[in-house]
Amino acid sequence: MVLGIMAEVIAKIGFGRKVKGYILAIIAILILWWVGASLYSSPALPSPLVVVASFFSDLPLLAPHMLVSACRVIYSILLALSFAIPIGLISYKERVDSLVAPFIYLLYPIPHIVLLPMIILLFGIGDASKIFLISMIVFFQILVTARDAARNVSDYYILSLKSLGANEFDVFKHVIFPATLPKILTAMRISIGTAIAVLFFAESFATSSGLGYFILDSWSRADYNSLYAGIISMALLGFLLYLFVEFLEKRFCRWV
Amino acid sequence: MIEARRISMVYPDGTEALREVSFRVGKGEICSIIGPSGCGKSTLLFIFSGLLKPTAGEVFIDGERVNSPRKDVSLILQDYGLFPWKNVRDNIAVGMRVQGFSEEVISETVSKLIKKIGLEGFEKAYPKQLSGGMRQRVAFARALALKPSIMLMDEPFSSLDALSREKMQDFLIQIWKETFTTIILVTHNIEEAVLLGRKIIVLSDRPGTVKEIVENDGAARSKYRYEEEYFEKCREVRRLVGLKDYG
Repeated sequence: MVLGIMAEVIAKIGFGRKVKGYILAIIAILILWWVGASLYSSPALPSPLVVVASFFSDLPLLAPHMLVSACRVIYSILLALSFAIPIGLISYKERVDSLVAPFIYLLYPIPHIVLLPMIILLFGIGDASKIFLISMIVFFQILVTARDAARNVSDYYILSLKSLGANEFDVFKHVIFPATLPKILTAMRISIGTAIAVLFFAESFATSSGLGYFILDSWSRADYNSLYAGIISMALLGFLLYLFVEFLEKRFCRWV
Repeated sequence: MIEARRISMVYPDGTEALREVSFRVGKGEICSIIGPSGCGKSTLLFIFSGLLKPTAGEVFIDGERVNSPRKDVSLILQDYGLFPWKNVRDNIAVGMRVQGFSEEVISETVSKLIKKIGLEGFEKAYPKQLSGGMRQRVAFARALALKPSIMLMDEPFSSLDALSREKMQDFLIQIWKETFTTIILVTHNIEEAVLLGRKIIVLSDRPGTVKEIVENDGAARSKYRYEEEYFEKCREVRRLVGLKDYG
C-alpha cells in the first residue's frame, strides 16, 4: 500500500522533472559528505558508502525502531490536528476568537519543551508523555496557522453560501475548511520537521525503543556507522511524511 | 410578489445607504434597478435576500416578512460568488447539498443544468480555469438548481466583454421565458437596464431613494435592442439618471 501511495505521489508531482531533481540533490549531498569525510578522515565522520552499507545491514535491527518512531510521530500529529483544526477554524467567528485568542497569545510563546518534567510527572515515562509533548508543540503551530487562515476567509464566500440557505455547519464544511486547507497543509509540513526534532528529544531518555534511542545508544557504544544509519533513518522518516503531505495537497487542493 | 416598504439603511459606521425606498415587483416580472455607484443598489439586494436587516422598513415576499434567507430566493453576487475550491459540478450542486436534496436528485439536476449551460466536458474544471462568461453561466446554474421563484442579481454581467455580455443577456432572457422567475437585477449600465427590465427603478445618489419608476413593457426580448422604443427608453433613463442628453 505504501508503495502504491508513493507511486501515485511520484506520478502526481510530475515524475520526470521532480524525481530528476531529487536524484541530483541526493548525489550532490553524498558527494559533499564524501569529500568532507575524506578530508576529515575520522571514524566520527564515516564515508557515505560505509554508512549506506551499514544502514542496509542494520535494517533488520533498525526497522522496529523506525516503526515505533513513526507511530509516535503520526499519533502525535493526528492528535494535534484533531484539536487544532476545529478550534482554529471555529475562530473565524469573532465571538469565539475573543475567547480563544488570549489563550493562544499567552500559551503559544512558552517554549513547551520545558514542560517535559511536568508532563512526565503527570503521564509517566511511557509513550503517553512522549506523544503528549510532541502533539502539544505541533498543536500550537497548527492552531495559530488555522486560526489566521480562518479569519482571513472573505465574508463574500460566507454570504454567497448563506444566501443559498446554509447554516453554520454548512459554512464550516463548504467554505471555511476547504478555503483554509492549503494553509493547514503548509502548517503540517512545517510541523513534521518540528515533530521529528521533538521526537528525538523525547526518545533520548527512559526508553529502549525508537530512532532517538537507537542513535544515542550507538553513540554511547561509539558505533558511528550505526549512529549515522540511525540519522539517515530519521531523515527518511521525515521525508516520507513530507511526501505524504504533498500527496494530500495534490489530491485535495488541486484548485490552488 | 416582492414589496419593499420604506426601507432605510444606515451602516454602523454612519453611512446612510438607503432612505425610505418603496416599490413592488410583480410575480414573474423582470425588474432592473439602476443608479450611480454607491447608491445602495447592492445593499438593497442583500436586504431582499434576507442576509441584511434594514435599519427601518420591511420587505415582504408573497405577503411574508423577510428576515432570513429564503429557500425560494437565489442571490447571484457580483463576480458570481463561486467557490474557487469547488469544481463546476460541485459549485452547481452546493445549494442543493445545503438544502438537503438527495445525491441522486442532485446528480440528475446538475447534469441537466450543465447541458443547458453548454459546459459539458468542464464538469471537473475549477472556476479559475473558466472564462468570465462560463463562470457566469455556472452561477446561473447554481441558482437555477434550487428552482427559485425569485432571482436577485448584483451586476451580473459587469465583468464581461461586450460580446459575452450580449450573449449572457440573451441567455437570461431565455431562462426567464422558460421559467417566469421573478428577477431583480441591479446594474449601472443603462442599456442593460432597459433591455432587460420591464420595470426600471431609478435610484438617486447616496443615500439611495427612488427617483422614478419607468414602465418598459417591450423589454426582455433580444430583438428589443434594435427597436426605436428601446432607444427612446434609453434616452429617458439616461436623463433620469442625471446624465446630459446629447441625442
